[in-house]
Amino acid sequence: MTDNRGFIKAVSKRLFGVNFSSKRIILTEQQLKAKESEIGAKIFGPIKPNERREFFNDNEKSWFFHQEITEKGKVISSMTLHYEVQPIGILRISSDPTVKNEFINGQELKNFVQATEMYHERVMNQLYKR
Amino acid sequence: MSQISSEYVIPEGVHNPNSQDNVESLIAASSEITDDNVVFESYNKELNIASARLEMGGRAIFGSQPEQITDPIITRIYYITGRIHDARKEYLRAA
Repeated sequence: MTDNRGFIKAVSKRLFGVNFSSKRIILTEQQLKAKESEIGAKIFGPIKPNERREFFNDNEKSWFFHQEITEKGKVISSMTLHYEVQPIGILRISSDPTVKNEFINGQELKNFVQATEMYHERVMNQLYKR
Repeated sequence: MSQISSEYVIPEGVHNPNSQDNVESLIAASSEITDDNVVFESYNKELNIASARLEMGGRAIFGSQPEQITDPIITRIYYITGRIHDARKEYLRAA
């Protein structure tokens, strides 16, 4: 009789470098956030090969957007925006000292809300299967 | 910050040195104390604290008062983050 489990194990390991017959990988909270960020980054359109983008919810009050552009392996520009949800508004804190830290409004607020809605929908569907 | 103004509703339980009640109670208290400066120094100190809090973006005052939220946009964002957190917690609990 053929040992099916052994066969699957060998084939999956050879093809994908993963042993499918083993236990599923359990992610930590940090890894979950990284997965969410992968999903979140795609909300803002295709990511260029020389671009690193993150968008994720860190805790009940904090959202982060991060973007890095590299050239010849070196980071030539980077920007981190921290959106802090406060009962009186969304306070944007920027890593760029030339950008004023302020409560967002108008189109920026609309965009932020839309991004969080899309993040919610995609993360729930793709990661948490809800 | 320009967005911070005196229009904010200070949550219940947070001492508001600007309220009329407090001013009246301070005036009443001052009549019972012989050295008025003690009262007014204390009042000025309160005002400075309140103004420092406002300069900080109101975080010290409003940071943990979600029950005061009336803006539907903020309410929606809190709802979304709450759902995401519940999903994370559930995943970690089941793991």
